Amino acid sequence: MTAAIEVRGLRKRYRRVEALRGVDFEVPEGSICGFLGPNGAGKSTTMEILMGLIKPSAGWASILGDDLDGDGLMTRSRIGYLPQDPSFFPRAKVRSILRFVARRYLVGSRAAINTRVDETLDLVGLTDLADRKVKALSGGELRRLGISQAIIGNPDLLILDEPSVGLDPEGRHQVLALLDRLREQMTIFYSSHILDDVERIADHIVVIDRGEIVEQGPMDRYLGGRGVYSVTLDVGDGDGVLRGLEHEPWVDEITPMGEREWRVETPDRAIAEHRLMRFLVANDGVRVVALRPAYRSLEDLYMELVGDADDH
Amino acid sequence: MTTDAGTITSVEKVGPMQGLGGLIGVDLRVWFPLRTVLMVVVGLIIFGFMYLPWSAAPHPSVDPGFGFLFLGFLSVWSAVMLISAASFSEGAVLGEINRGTAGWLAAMPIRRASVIVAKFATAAVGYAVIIAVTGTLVYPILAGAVDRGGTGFRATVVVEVTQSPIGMWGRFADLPEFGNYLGMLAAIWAAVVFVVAAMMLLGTFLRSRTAVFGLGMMLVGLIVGGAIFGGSSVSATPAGAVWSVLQIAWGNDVALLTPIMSTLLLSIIVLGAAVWSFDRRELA
Repeated sequence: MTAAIEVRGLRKRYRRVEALRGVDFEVPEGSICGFLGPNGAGKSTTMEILMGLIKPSAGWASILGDDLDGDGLMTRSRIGYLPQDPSFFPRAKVRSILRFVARRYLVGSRAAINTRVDETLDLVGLTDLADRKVKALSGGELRRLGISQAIIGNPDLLILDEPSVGLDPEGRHQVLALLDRLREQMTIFYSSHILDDVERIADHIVVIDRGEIVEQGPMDRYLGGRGVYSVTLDVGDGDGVLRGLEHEPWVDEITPMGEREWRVETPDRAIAEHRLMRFLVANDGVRVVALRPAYRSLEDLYMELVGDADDH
Repeated sequence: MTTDAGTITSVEKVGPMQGLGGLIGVDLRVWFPLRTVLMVVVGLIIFGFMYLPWSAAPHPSVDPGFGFLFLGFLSVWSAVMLISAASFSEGAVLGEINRGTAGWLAAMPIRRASVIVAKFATAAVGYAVIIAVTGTLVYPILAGAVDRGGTGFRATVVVEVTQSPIGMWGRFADLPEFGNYLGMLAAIWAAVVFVVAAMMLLGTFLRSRTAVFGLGMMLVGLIVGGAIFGGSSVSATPAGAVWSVLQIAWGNDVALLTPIMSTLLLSIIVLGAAVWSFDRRELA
């Protein structure tokens, strides 16, 4: 698979602090890649180097097939970027900002650009605020504007530094839905501390800790596609029910975990979610007390890899 | 990509000053109308302070001479223009860097040089308008005070309108002809433009706006000091541009072209250094 981003031996030193210590990773084209790591791990520094905002002390990187060595203008015309703390012309209106950005990335009639601006405003739920000045926006609204200016040029690659920070739950949900919708059109490389969000939409992860990549690869490699569930039943003959379940072709293994608790493994999480509950409730006299995923979550993996950030 | 209003395509080539037009459009809104109107009003207030004591002089025998009025106005106004250039420009680059706007712009397909050149060009145009408008508004009143401006701006109009007793004071020193007067304004503008370029350069490598402003004010001090005390030895410098203006106001015959051209050339060199420095500045 072609890499949208390829980084080799990237280093960045600020006087006595070595922010990046030989970073190597790849982001496959067409993927949604979550970039994870504790505060100060080097996520923003890496993204800023990729965007040409700061220069690496050593190493090499390529974005969309172009080395970082050149002026990068043509490459940047194919990238949408949301910095960690987005800042725009404070006295400009939201619509003017988007029009300004659109004209940097797109060529077309004024009417066509305006239509694209309106479409983007609608996509991020900013239509009602189109004529509001940037300085009057709340933090969450500013982040939405940041996301909208990143996607308005219809880029091939989207680099987002913590797109969900400062958003309320509804806003977070909208951002996730938006990224999910964009996955067919562009590669998305985004950093986040909200591991549930990353787990929901990312298909690839890169984990960085103290300036070094500690893990990277497809999400399935770590979390697996297996559907492992813990089932707790209130039933006289729980064993009988579970024996019946054992004969189902989509069940791999059943392991007793306690008096009324069993661990059920299936080859695929989707199958488990669809069939397991249906099977259980179809048995008269069985009351399902609990049915919860028992697989390793991204948070489990993350804590294994980087531990508690306070330990650093 | 197609929208309801037609087809739009991605940018397929980048020019040597990619993004300049858009940035000039943005920066012009910073200068027009607020800053330009403000600075024209400030100029007229300064002129008013210089002019009114003469027009209200209680005794016709007190005649400090027109040359003094003219020189006073041009000195104070030039200094104010230079100070305002340092004040308005101190945050032009560093403010954008600290706020994060420069990083936002640099992450787009925009050449960093365009950011600097756009700010410089709009400031240069802003000050050209400010100096031309203020100077042109002031000139007929000065001409009126002289009572023989020789450019069509006759004193009688002003005196009749303002009922000023200034005409009673007799003839003052000759006011430079309007063309020469425009040359004096151009020399002030050139010095101001140099300060703007220098502030841009300082903003690209310093990290404190206070330091940028402090050094900018020191530069203004050097220019004003050089204009007062430097004499002809500074004629090919920004201080020389202001010095030439004051010399002409005093009635001396000095050339304007050399200080204007050398100051503009210096400004372009300093601007080039600012572009070079900004290209290497980390915008995290």
